Amino acid sequence: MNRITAARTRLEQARDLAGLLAAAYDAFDDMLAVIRCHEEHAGGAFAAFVLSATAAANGRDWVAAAPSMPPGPAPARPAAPAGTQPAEPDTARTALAIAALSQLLAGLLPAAAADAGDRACLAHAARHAARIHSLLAGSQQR
Amino acid sequence: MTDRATFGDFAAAAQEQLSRAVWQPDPGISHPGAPACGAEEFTHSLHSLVTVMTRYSADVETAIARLSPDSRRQMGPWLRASSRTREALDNAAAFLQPGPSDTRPRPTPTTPAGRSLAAAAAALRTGRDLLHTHTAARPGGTPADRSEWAPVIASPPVTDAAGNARRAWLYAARGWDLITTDTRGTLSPAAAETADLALWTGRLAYADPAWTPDLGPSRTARPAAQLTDTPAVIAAVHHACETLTQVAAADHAQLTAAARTGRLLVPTRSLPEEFDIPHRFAPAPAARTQPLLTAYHDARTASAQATASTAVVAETVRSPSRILTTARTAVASNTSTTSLRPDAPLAPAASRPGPALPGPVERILRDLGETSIAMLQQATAIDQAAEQLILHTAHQPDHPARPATRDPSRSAATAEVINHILTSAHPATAAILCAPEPAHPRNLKK
Repeated sequence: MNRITAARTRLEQARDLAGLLAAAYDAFDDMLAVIRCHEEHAGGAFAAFVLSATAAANGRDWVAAAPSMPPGPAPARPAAPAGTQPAEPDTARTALAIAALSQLLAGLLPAAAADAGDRACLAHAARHAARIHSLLAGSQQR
Repeated sequence: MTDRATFGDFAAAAQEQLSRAVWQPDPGISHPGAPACGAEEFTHSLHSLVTVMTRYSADVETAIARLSPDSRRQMGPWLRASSRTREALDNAAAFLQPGPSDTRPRPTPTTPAGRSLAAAAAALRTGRDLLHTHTAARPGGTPADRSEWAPVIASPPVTDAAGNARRAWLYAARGWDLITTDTRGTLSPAAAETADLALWTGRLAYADPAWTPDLGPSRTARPAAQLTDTPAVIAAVHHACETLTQVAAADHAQLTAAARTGRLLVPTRSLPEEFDIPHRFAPAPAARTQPLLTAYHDARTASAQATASTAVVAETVRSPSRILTTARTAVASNTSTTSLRPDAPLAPAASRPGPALPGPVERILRDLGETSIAMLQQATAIDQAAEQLILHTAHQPDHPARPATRDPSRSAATAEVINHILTSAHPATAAILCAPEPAHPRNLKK
């Protein structure tokens, strides 16, 4: 189970808004970290990866701004278990995994909002998730 | 007749530059006791020139080696001339080679003679690239499905400078991974223009004239054979590099101001647990703002160098973008600063005096509507006294080099003060306040 798969599992298992916000924040953060790991090997997709990283950081910050998100530092997360990363990064598969996770976020976040403040922040976050999906999977493939 | 540049154009350009180097010697190397920097950069530039001449000589030897024995015999003295020329150039290159202990990067030439030699070397290098394109096309009539100018664009100086700029901008982008601003959600005019720049340069690089980033990564690149209007292509690259240089300078200035006024923020969720801030966002700790400022400074320097390298090619192919170089030269003639020369990187923004932005106490008074000069001066004095006290403490002789395992900017109240010091004080003095970036889950090895 790699970092993206773990983030997806956490999102799917979130039972309440607080859990979902925490999982969404970490999912954007994990996508950002994985994108940064792969962008140098992305070849022709370099620009898509770099723009996706920006969208991931923006999405994370919008989740952080949601009024229902508890303020202050997050509890420390355990480090990913050793050996979970492939020796040779497969950029294409990584892009698809991130695109799938961002698509899940884009669908979950708007529906989770409880009040107007959350709704506005999570709508922004969802838009950034959708942008990641279109950048890495292609929203207008022809 | 053709509008396209030929090898003769490059040779003529090199000859003109060499004439300038000969007839306009630098005071720095012609007068005893003058600064050694002129001699050093002259030597570097001369080494570049001799190196490219060595490659020409090697090309000649390779061509001769392909001749039949009869043809070689007929060449007679030319064979010896070729051999001796190669030997002399090899010796010269060896004598001019920096010592093994000299690992410093080569300086950008600043003296007239050094610049002329570097420009002559660049012209000869580009001319050789062009020749190699022709020789590569001859055997078997290799189809011309690529631009004959591809080697010009891929010539080492331009490629190196573009690669450095790419890396510098990537570091700048990564600097934002852990920082945001208090204007989240609004798109500044500069950011919108930069997005347009990415769109239009992308449409040059990709085959689809309606390309957008949202089409996804698997798009077909534009075949080089379509890029037949070389001067126009070079102009686009030249303008893009020039724009990036200006954007980096403007961004650096804005970031410096934002850091001083506590407008660079971090989600508190991203901070270690010892940070006790009951808000969702807090002023960014110095350990995060300083690398961002450094990254933009480096991006500006690297973009300026890419612009200077592209300007050489633009001049050679008579690109319409030569007006950029002319404009810079005109600006430089009206100033006495060497930093505005068209072929030199701009001076770092951090090295120029910036506007005196208010410290935290003065800013609060201004926010409260205080206009009394006496009161504002008193607030400025309090800010300065506080900064001096902090710096004095950090400089105590028995103070550890790294003063704190806890970041001095770990609270919302102190972060603004520390960041103001960092952007106001001398960098070497202020650096002592930069605690290392604390471990964060995202920074852990995945």
